[in-house]
Amino acid sequence: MKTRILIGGLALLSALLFVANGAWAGQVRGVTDTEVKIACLVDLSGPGKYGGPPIADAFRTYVAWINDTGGIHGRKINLIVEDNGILPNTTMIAARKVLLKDEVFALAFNLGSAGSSAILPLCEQHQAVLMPHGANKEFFIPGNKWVFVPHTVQYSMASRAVEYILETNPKARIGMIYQDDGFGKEGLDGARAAAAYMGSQIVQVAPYRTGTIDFSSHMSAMRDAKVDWIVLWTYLPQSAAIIKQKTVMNWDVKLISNNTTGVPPLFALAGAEADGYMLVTPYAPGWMDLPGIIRIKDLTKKYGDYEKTLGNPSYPDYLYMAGWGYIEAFVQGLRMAGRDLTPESIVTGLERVRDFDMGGVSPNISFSPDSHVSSFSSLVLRANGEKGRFEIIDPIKEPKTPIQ
Amino acid sequence: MEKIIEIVLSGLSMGSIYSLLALGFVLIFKSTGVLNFAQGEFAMVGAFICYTFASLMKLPYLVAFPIAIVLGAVLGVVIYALFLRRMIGESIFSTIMLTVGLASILTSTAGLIWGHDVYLLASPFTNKVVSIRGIILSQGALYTILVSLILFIVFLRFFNHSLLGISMKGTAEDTDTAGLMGINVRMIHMIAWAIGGIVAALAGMFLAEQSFVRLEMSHVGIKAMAAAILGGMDSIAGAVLGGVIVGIVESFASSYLSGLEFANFHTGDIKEVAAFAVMILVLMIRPQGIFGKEKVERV
Repeated sequence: MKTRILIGGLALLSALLFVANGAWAGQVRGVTDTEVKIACLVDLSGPGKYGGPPIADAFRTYVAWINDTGGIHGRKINLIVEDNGILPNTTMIAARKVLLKDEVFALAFNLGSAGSSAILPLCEQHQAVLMPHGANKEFFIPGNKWVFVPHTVQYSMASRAVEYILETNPKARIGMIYQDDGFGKEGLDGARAAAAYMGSQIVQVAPYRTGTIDFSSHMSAMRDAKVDWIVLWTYLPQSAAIIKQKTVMNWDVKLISNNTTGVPPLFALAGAEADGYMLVTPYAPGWMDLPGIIRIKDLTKKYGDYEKTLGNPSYPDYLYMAGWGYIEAFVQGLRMAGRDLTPESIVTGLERVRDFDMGGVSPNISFSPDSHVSSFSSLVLRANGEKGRFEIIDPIKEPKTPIQ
Repeated sequence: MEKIIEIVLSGLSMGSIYSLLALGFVLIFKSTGVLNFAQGEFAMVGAFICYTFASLMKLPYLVAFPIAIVLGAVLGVVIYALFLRRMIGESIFSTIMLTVGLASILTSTAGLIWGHDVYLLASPFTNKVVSIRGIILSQGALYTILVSLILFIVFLRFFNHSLLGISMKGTAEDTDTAGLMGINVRMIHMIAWAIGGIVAALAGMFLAEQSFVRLEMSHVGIKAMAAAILGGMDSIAGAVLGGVIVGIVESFASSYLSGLEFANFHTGDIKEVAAFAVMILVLMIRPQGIFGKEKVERV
């Protein structure tokens, strides 16, 4: 009798497991009939916490608008904003949490290239689309099925900076100060490749460790090498410190940097001395009356906190625009994927996004099965110290230098 | 030659800041036996206080500067009274962990109060330079070197010639005997923490003048600790010399060794490593530091 009960119980358990397994197989993580759950991983507590809140602001505003207008294919977006601390280990913790506990469908944003590299295997294992910010070329050479980059990569921006210098002054002697990490070395590689392509070279390089604030010796090395342009692959405090050092040295060297430094606080730190400082970025300055910027501002007034964000003159608007570009790209992918939303269909959907009009905010968004990087193009901006803002001096252009 | 002088002056400027912080480490360690891992955070808070009065409340820099010094001393006293007074005589590991915890709390609190951004502390010397025979130096750096030099002389005279200074030295040598001789040991400990807070606030303001005010500026504390160990943890002159050595070594390393490439090998930024490399080399030869006294254990 006991044996029969045992066999019967085991048979029932097996049947239940079979049914349950069948039910699981039919479900997609993070997707229900009425909702799709996505994550935005930004730094709210680590070394990149300066960049986290504006990106999260943009995501929240955009999602509020989409949900208010009925969602995508009848599904509202459930946005999970998670602090990734930007470092690889803290990003891994955040990614595990959103994928395994919150069970999100995709990671529509992750801040930090090193952290993105760390969590890529996890995303592959769970078939989750990952959209890394600060993406390095490892993400598109050779490319990865689950990775989509709507943002111009650092390598291309550095190439664009050097090409701009040599196009305006073919005999320029170029030096480079760069952060001694993946971000800075990516810039160095792009700058060197462009210099070689244009028949020139980077005559002096000076790396610095994250957190460095004294650039006197770096700048002395540049002056000794008689450079007349310095490419900076730095973040905001370092760029401001270098502008300050340039003033102290009474040296009229030209500086050109990357998108991360193109924010209003640069003027608060460097004042009028910032005048003439240039940078390469995929994003137009937020004060301009471009159709895309007007649209973002209108939507922010309705669904976000305009006074705190784009209405605040000291707000880092480029980060808000960057966040906006990412969620805009992901939502276009959702639209293209159709009602039958699966990991495979979102990949196909994103690959079908073609020339989505960003209204001049940034290069239009395009993906394809052959390229998961939307654009290699960027603008050149110049700081107007008197007006305390950046102005476009060279339009959106793709560098000619091939990516090696 | 001009380049060498510029490198030395630049190193002296940063070295003065390290020396001030190292002085705080040594004073507190000598007097209380506590290795204060929050010294860099004291400097950061001092800079933020000066920024609050000078930039946010629009007081003249020369008014904000002494206010920050006084509040730096108050911070030292409060930290001592609230946390460290109870730790006298406890194991060094307990006090170290306590100061490590304090460092973290100070950084978090500063982040809550002032935010995580980077701020400009404009002083009368900001963006002004001095040019002597082709050698260009910022007025801020020159001011840092001169004020630090004056302070070191004042501190040396204070510890060698004033009654309070001699009492502090005596307490550092032997707390029990000092107490038996009528010295108020707790008061001496509190004064040591107050002076530690003052020199940290000064270092923070000098550092902010040369760069900016931000939470991460507290990281300078670890290099100052290397300077203190290099000079000898029980020597005020050693702390000063250690700071200067670290500053100058960093400056030379940054100018001549950083960014070198040999085939595919890239040296990166040697500057940050140089200070610790020198510290290790010196300690291998003189484990007690340059001016430190060798401890003789009688059995």
